[in-house]
Amino acid sequence: MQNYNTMLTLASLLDAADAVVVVQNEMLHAAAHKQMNIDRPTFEDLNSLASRSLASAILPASWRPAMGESAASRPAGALLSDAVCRLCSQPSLRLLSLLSVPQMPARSVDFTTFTWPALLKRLRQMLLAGSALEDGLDWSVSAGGGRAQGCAAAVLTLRGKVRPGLFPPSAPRMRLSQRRRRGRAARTCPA
Amino acid sequence: MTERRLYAPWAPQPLSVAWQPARFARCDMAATLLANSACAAVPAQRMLHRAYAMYSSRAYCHQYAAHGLEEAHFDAAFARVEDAVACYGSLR
Repeated sequence: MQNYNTMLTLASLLDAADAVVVVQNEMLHAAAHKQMNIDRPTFEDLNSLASRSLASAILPASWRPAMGESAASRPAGALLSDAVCRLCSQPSLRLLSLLSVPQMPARSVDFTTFTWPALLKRLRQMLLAGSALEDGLDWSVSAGGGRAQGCAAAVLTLRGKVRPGLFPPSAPRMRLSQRRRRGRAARTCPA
Repeated sequence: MTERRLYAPWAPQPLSVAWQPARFARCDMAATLLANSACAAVPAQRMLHRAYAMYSSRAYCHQYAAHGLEEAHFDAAFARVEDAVACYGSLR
C-alpha cells in the first residue's frame, strides 16, 4: 500500500510543484536512532528531524558571490523562488535531495567544536554517496568514479560564522599569488 | 564542493552558496545542501519497482477502485513518475 500511495502522491506532486524534496522515512529513522540516540523514534521525532533540515535550507539567507563575480553584483536576499530557479533549471529534473550537517543530539552541541572544512567534507561525501545519513558514510565513493551520482545543481546554505574566503574559495589570494609569479617572471626575463 | 567534476558537465553555474550569520539550532556552524541529483531518484525508482510488482497482480486495486481510483489513474500516475525517474538516468 505504501508503494502505491507514494507513487500516486509523487505523480500529483510532480504535476503541481516546481520542485519536490525527497526525504525517506528509513533515512530519518536511521538518523534519529543512530545520531540522535533515540531508542524508538516516533513519527514526531522523524518529522522534527526533517523539518529541521528543511528549515536550515529555506530560512532567510543571502547569496555569496560566485567565483569571478563581485560582491556588488549579487542579489541581496536568497528567496525560495531563487533557489528553485537555480536548482530546477530543467523542468524534467525536479527531484531534490536534502542533506544536512551536523546531525547530533542537542545535549552534545555544547561540547562539540565545529570547523567548516570538516562539515563541508562530510556534506560532499554525503552528496557523492547519495546518502542523507552522516553516520556510516561510504568514503570509498570518489568524484569521477563509476558509482558517484551526477548532480545537476546544488544550493549550499551555511549558517554561522563564515570567514571571508570560504566561498568563493580564496579567489583573491589566488589572484595575488598569480600576480606575484607574473612579476617574478618579468624580473627574471631580460627585457 | 566547488569541484567541477561533482556536477553535470552541461550545468553553467551548478553551485550557489547562501549564508546567514545567525546560529542555527544552537550550532555554531551548520551546513545544508539541497541538491538536484540522481540520488533523489534512487528511492523513487525502488518504490516504483515495488509498486509495479504489486500492480502486475492487481494487489489491493479493488480498495482504490472503491474510492473511485480506476486503472487509468494508476497507469497515468505510473507513467508520470517513470518519466521523472528516467530523466535522472542521463545524470548517472
